[in-house]
Amino acid sequence: MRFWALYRRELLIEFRSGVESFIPIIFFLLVVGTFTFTLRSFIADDTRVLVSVIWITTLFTSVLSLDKLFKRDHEDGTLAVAVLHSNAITATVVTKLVAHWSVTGIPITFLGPVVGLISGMQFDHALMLGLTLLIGTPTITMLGALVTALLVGLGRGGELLTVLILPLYIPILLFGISVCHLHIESASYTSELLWCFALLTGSTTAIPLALGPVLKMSQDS
Amino acid sequence: MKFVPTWLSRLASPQHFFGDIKSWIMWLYVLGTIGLLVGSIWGLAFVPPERYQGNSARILFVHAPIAHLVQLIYVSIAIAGLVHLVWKLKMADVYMSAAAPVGCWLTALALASGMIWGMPTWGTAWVWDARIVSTLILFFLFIGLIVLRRVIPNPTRAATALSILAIVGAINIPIIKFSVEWFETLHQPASINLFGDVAIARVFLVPLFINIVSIYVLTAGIILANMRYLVVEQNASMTWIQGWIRGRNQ
Repeated sequence: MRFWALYRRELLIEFRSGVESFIPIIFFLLVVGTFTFTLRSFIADDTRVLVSVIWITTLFTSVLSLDKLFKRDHEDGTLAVAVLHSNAITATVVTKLVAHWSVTGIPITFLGPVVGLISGMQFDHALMLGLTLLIGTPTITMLGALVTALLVGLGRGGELLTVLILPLYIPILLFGISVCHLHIESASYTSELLWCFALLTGSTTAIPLALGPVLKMSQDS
Repeated sequence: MKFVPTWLSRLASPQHFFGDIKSWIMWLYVLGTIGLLVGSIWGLAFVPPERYQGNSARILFVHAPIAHLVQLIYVSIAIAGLVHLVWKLKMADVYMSAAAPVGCWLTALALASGMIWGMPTWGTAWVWDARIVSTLILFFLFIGLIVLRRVIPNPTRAATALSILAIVGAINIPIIKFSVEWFETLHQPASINLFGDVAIARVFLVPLFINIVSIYVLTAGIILANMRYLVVEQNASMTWIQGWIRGRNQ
């Protein structure tokens, strides 16, 4: 019940800012488009290039959108109130993250394969790309949220966030790309796919628990 | 029952650490330097050239000890982070801040020496090999720790943030290694294998061992000296530091 109320609130705030809420998706399409255009001869030969391009752009889009994840709530004091309810903070944060994933992760999960199909990927390869993105985007959101939470209220973001987050994104990036590449090469990809699931379950279970204390600390100082 | 001897538990307090550790640093510096000189001169001048690589294999005596050490430094920072989160020991925080720049420099050195070795041996300075890539990522993780420390003005918050980032990074290191290795073997089945099944000959092993131990000792000295500076910086307003400064100036 409270989940849906909070979730609705997050989405309302997100979409009331108008076109601004679509900037991450526009960024994603723009970057993927630029890459596909400039690398078109390579992609025509080998669609594995496209998989890497879409995955890496997903990471950059995530860093870009994470910047404002806690910013607004910190500035208007919502975060301070949420932290005061110390037993509810984990649930609140998880709701925020689910909402954030709904507006960035889900569109990318759909758009990635669509862009792939347009650029000449086979249907089942594009489907596999969509599956890895579906597993990967929540993991990316979780890891990114933890690092973003460390920097709440410092007025720093952008490049700093990129430097701190990208090394932590390497495993999910490589495993996600591996699954797609192996699928395109029609080799066995089970173990890589299981690794993706392991990263997803690990980050979604452990990180929300750490987020509460980290956010509390940001409000104390 | 005492698990921790008194001389060791004393070191958890900045004041005792500052006084007790001073004599250690000198010894660590001296032993480390002598060991490095002995090991390196032995390795560079007295060991026969390697059968296949010739003289270029001698960089092993510099490169291998450092490349081993940097991972240990990162893991030790993560352990210090855990200690800081659980027991709130001040010195754990000091250790993290002191060791991160040292680790960063050593990682850069490991990468650079590896590239210098790679040029004559592989014919190229850089290969996207699993070990090189994971060391490069380790370098960025160290940079992240240093930067995070700089941007957070509140020291308590900086220490906690640093601990969390170090722990998350440390959990990630084996996964990064796995992922990079698997990703590599995907495209490069016949990756370059340094020594294969052949163990290193004993003539190489002795100076290598001396160098490994001495670089550990020397780095310990550098980190401890770094920690002492940080203790002075953080406790500058304390009477015992003021007294020490007055004593020095007289």
